[in-house]
Amino acid sequence: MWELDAKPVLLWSDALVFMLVIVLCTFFYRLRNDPQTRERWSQVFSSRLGMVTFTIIMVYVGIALLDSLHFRRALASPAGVETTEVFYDNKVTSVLDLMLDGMGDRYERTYSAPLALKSFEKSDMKDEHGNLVRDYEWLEHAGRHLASPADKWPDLLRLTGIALAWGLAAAALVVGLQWVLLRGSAYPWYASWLVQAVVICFMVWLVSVSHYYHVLGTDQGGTDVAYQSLKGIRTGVLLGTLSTLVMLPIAVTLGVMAGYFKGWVDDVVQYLYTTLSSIPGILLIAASVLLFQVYIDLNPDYFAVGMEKADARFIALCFILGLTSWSSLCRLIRAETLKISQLGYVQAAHAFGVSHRRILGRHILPNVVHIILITFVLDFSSLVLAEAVLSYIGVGIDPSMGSWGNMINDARTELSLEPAVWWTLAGAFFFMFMLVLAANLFSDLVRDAFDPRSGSGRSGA
Amino acid sequence: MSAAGDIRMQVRDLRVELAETGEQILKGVSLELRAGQIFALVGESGSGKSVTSLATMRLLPEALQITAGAVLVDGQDLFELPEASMQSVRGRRVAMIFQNAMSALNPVQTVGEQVAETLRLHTPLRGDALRRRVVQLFSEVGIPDPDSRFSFYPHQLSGGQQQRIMIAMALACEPDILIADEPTTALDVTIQEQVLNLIRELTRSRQLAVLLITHDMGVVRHTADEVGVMYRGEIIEREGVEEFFHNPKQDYSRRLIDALPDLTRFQSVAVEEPLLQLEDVKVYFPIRRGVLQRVVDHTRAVDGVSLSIGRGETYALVGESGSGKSTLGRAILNLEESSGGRIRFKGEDIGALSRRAMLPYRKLIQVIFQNPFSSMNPRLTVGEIIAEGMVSLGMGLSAGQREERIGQLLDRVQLRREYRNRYPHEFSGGQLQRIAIARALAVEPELIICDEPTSALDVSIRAEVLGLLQELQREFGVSYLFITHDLSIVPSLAHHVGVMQAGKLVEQGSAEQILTAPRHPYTRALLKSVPRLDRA
Repeated sequence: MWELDAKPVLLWSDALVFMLVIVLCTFFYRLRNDPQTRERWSQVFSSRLGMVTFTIIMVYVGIALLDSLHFRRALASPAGVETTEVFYDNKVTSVLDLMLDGMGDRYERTYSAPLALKSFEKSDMKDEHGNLVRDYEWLEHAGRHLASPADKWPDLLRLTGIALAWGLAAAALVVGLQWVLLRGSAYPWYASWLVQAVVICFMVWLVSVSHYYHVLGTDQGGTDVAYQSLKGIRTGVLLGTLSTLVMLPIAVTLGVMAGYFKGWVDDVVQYLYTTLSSIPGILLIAASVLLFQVYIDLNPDYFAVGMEKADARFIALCFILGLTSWSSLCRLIRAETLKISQLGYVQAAHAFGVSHRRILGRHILPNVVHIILITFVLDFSSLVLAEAVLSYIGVGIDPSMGSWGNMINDARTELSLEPAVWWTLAGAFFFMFMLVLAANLFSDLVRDAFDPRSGSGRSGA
Repeated sequence: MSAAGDIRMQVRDLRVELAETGEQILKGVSLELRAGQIFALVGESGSGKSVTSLATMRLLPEALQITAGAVLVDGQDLFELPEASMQSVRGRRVAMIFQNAMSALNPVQTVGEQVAETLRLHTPLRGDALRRRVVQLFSEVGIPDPDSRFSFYPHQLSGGQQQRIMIAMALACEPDILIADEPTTALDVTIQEQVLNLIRELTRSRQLAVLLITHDMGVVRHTADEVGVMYRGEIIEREGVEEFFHNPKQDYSRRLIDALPDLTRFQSVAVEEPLLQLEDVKVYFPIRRGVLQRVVDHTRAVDGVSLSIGRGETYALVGESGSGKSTLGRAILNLEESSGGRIRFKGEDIGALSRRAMLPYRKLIQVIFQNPFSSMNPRLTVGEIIAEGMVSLGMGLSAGQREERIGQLLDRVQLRREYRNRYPHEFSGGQLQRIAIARALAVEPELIICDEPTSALDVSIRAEVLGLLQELQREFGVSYLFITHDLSIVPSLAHHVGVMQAGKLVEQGSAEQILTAPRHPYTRALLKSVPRLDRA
């Protein structure tokens, strides 16, 4: 079995994202004890919209995590060479690639329209008599099993039927299991189950149909667009979370310190963020990314495979985005801390001789958590969009790493072709739209529940 | 103009509810305003006084809905008028003045211009005649040098003068009815009296029908002709002012009167060794200006205060908000750096101790704050809140002993032991203040600084908390520095009284001496603003 002969690869971004998952899980596990927080979360989840958006976000996160389990396949020993040494493929594969069942390996020569059998562009070929003709070439991996091109639609219908049957069976299994566990729950789980069923059916259909057709066509390099869009999920989700993760400690530490200690600490912090926010963000980010690109180019030895190089650039981008976007959160937290540190319980803690560290940890931090949470969810979607903008101006993700920004960037020229190549943009747009919409709707709900200024957050208190 | 005593406005069975939940805010309020008389609507905050006044003028926020009732002015029901005609009723027939004059005046327009604008809207006066009318109004409301004040901006006038401008503006169109919502609450006692006298004079001279909304019984005593006590959306008692103060019928009204109860019994003054001595204590806050934030001047929050508190004694520090009482309390706790003078606790100078050196004294001096809702961390349980001091001050207790002590303390402040696992938001204000007392007692202090511990509480609960504090004093021999603006609680509670004004202690002495024979004019003014229950 070739699956066993694989060498796991742990990219830096993989390590970070799994660390993040662990941190978030423990964080929420500990928050569980606080009745107020529990009540607010239950407010978020008792609406159908909350359930639906959360499920969608979880699907995206799940795909991103599957795509973060990387390994390199072992290659078969070259014929005639007797060696015990195992050679590994230079291409890094992820568990998601396995689950998509080779969807990314079926390359064409160039563009092809969704579900097309022939190439989008004409090329020179020889007919059976050896004459040179210029025509649309038959695709390598689409419709090869068909007896005649006219069978395409009945065949698709048949494939869809089979896929739906399998999909519904799988969905029934997954939902049924949850139904047994969560029967008596007061939350509208059925909304989540519906989304899960739809997602499972869609994925089964996508994977099975893409064996025989390119569902969303192919791009200029002949890569399957549906596959690329799915690969873009990891980039988008990771960029959103990692950048926020880089930003949070800076913003929280500086903001809380400025608000609590006041005096010169406050002056320094204010000076820092005022300076930072007076530099146009996009220029600062572009300059930093280019600087790091030069470093990568000058030190090729540090990176074993091309994927690691792309990954290094990706992480650098996360850090840069995080380092340049903390000022607004810092300002919010500073103001909130200023307010809280004048409140009775902090004064009482001073009167009890509680140490600064304990006051910060017990009294101030827990009471600014709602701001952190709201900002985390709100900033997430804007960071995903920022990636698209940066890739568009050419300082974003490495082109070898699938990303929606890069796909949109390519679409710039494709849309001006006649007839237009619309499917690359459509693929990226659809997946990005779903994520950002879900994140925005969810963040609205979180804000309503947690913001003390919105009335409903208080009603239960 | 109609004769005195005619009904100018009649409110009948006014009901208002919260649009969203249907909760009743006003449960059938009826009252009449008569020409030349002042009707005072009194009650605690949240009792529905302001909602009543806003509802009669149809100025309620959208969240509130009028469900029943009528407001009759000259036989016309205001609730049946179209909004356009209401505009002319407000201002022309009925005028309103609010609590905070500064925020009701436009800061970028001269006060004369603002009054003239109202006149221009409702009268044909223009040009010189208009200006003369404004100046005339200014002199009527007692603004000195009215001609030159015409071109002043609001911030150039004092709070009392701003309120006078508001009154001038309200009177500009010669309304029949005046609604005054806490018109003097934001003012100094001395100025408060002048403004009230003005309202009273105008009521007589112009035959106004006045609805005066206030929580201050002193104001009622001095100005009103008739009193309505509001409690939870209902008028529970209505009476002429003399009868009301001599013989309140409802128990609640009696407590609300909150008067100087009995000036014959005082806490006996025991000569004891001093526990806390303040010598010429000063707290200055620097005022910084310019790019380099140079200190150009100081705000003298506490300006040379000397006093002494004995063991087991209560010292009441009385004064208005902004007089520096709370700052002095914070300075004793070493939460505010003192700029001069000496703070001696048991003979040791603790004023200049560092955070670390102060630790042993933290146990001995504790504090209870005004607002019980903000003085508890909402994310900690009651048990954790009470335990905090014991843990950080190293009382040398094991976890089990600590739990036991928390239980005892909760017993002592008459709360149930199970409450330790609850969170602050599950409690009422009075219960929270008991928890705050338990928290302070947890470290066995010898002095507790009580910073207005009852002013955020309902009158009904106030007495219970004060009673508890006195019991604890007898039991543990703890001293209190009791910071308050409320003179009525002083006789039963305090041994000594100090009166603070603008950072200075203007008068101090035994409670009896201050309350029966005040020497300083400011003390006299303060005392005068508190009503007396003279039950013959």
